[in-house]
Amino acid sequence: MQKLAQPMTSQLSAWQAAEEYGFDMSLVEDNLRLTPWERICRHSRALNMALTLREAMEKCHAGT
Amino acid sequence: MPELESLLERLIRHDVEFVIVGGFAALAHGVSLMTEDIDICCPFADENLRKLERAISDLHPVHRMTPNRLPFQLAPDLLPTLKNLYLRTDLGVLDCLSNVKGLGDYPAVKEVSIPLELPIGTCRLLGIEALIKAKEAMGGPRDKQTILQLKAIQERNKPSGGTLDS
Repeated sequence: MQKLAQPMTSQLSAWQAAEEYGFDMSLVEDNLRLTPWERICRHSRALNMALTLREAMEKCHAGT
Repeated sequence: MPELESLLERLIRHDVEFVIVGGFAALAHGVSLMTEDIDICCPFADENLRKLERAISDLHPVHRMTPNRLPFQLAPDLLPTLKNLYLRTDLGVLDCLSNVKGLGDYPAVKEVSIPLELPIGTCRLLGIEALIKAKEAMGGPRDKQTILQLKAIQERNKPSGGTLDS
């Protein structure tokens, strides 16, 4: 990801500035096709997956 | 594992008065960044805090910022002194704020919130412009990242008025 507040970003649209920063804005695009409730539920599933992975990695590191 | 949507449902079902703020509000607006908690701004009036207590009482709530993770119980002498509550429950982390930096107290926050109709009921969500203002006031690296996405979403929503549907 690029550093925040680079001078060139001021000439870009807000969407382009976010892309320029390094965000995969297709993910935001996907979110905007969903209702807020669908966004919340999708996030919840992703969060649980992330926490499961984190827990697995912690166990893995603890065992080494 | 956290179930933030179930935690939200409990707040709605128990008629707690609140506005969703912070990262959870950002995700409801469409931001792709992950958040591990629900931040709400709410009136710290006795009645509302009692509703909050009832909503989460069976979820083993504790004050997550205290060294011994003290159980969340509303002692009458404690009520007038409370400003914020940082709680951990079986369904996830719930932070309750009486003020939001950059916006002010609950009435000021409610003023810049919008209704959010969900299948589990209706609650209020901080409007995107106010959320940007609050994130600017916070000023951390994560807040700045969120602002970038919020501004992009705001720009994308402008032609259609940027309303939220359930």
